[in-house]
Amino acid sequence: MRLEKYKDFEVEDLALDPDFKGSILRPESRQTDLYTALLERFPEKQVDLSDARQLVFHLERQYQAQRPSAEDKLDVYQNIVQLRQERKSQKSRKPWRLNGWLAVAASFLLLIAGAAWFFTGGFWQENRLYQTTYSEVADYTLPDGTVVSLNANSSLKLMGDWGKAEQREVRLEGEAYFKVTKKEATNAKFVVHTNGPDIEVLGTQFNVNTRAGRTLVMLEEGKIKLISKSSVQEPKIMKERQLADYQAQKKLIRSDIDPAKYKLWLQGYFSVDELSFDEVIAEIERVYGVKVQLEIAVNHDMSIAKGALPTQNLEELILTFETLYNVAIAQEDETLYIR
Amino acid sequence: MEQPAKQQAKTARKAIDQEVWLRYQAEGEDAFPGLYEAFFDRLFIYGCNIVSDESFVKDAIQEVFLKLLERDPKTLEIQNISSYLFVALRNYLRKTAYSNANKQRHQELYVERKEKIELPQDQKGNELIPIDILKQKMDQLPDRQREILFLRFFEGYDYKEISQVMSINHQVVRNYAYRGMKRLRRNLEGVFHLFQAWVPLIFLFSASIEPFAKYFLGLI
Repeated sequence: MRLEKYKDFEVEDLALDPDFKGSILRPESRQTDLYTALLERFPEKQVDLSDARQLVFHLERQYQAQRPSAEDKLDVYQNIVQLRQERKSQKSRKPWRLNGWLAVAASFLLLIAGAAWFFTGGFWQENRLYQTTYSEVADYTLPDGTVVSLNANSSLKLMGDWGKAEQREVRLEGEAYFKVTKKEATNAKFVVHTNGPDIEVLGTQFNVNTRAGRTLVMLEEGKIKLISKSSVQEPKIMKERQLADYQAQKKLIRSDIDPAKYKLWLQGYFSVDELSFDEVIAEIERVYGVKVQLEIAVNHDMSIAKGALPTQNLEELILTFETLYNVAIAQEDETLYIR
Repeated sequence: MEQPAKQQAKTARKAIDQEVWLRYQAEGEDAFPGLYEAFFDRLFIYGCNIVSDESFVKDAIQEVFLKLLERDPKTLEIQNISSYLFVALRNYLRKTAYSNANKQRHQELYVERKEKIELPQDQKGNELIPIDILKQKMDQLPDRQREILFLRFFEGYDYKEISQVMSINHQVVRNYAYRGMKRLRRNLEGVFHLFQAWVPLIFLFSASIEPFAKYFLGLI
């Protein structure tokens, strides 16, 4: 019997259920007896059932009261018909258009110019900078076959001449996930330069995140070498499933981490688990290009919250953030106010 | 046993929408009155749950329909006409409300309405909470919760469909629907109990001062 699905229902779930609503509001329909049937099946829930019934009843009345008046309906209809006529007659006066032959000639010229630029190498020269804007995550294949996913508001620059050099070198700002292809023949190294350490690679998959003053390197597969800028520190060889955390003077290596957590942004989310509340705010500002204004004090619960926030959709971010931190957010233009 | 009934009810509403839409596609502008009739009220109520300015909602609906009329219906590939119209209205309202030209007029997207709305009594005499208080309680919900409640409760959309209209994750939608309903329930409970407790008191009060009133009036 389908009644069993209502067993663990709370008042709110019941009121949101279309079948339940139907049985309350359209007693002549076939679902008439759902309410009575539920009463018989779960007599202990009598109070809940009657509460849900009240809720359905009041909510429906509220919506019915919002129905527009007949004048409004006629009003808008007449406006539409009238405006439609006006716009139709405007349409017949066509705006300025390119003469057919002129258009063909112009597009042909453009095509030639584009092809020339492409084949003389202009295209390749210019394309050495890979860049993403706010809330954009993009995959790029570098000339050597290495696949890079760039997180929002990040950039990757190819250094030197990739056609000839033994070394493949890039400079990263922001965050990226690398799948480096191994060069069997030349054993050419792949080097990622960051504000923190430089990362030397043979062939492997890893994530690099350079935040303000902090660099996180997560190695999923293979082997990489970290070379600090200060010559005092020895180069560090990282093993699989390790996380290196470089801050101003400190260096921390953690083993046996869960790579998926650091790759969440590839699916359009980022984990707040490792971040302080301030860092979460900074990340939101960086990813979405918004300003965040705190109008409440940060409490303990907020600094230890665990979860993931979306990076692709500001509206979804606001909803999830409100739920995760139990706050209200008001948006005005490019600023989010946390209240 | 309920399953076929539900399927039927759900597809019945969709089937009517679909029929109206197919007729419009086949007959073009001649079938527009039918389309308008089927959707104006629903769009209006939906709009009023996004912004509080009714004339703004009317303008928006007008633009949405005009946009639709400008396009050749045969080239439009629309799976679900109701969600197409809801999305169009929603986008228009949000875009216009946030745009600079309208900034002053609609600074606050949704302002609680104060004026009283009249509604004839329910045939069972069920009028317990005045409709303006109900409206006020509804206005206290966060914008998105109110929007989700409308699509879920009034339109009978499932969470997937709502998530497509509002372009947010369907888990978030479910969560918000529940929270909206919970909040509404809490708000209403306060009023409800207050109301039930006060109504007899008012009668009692008026009854008890009646003799005195008569006495004093008699003196004058």
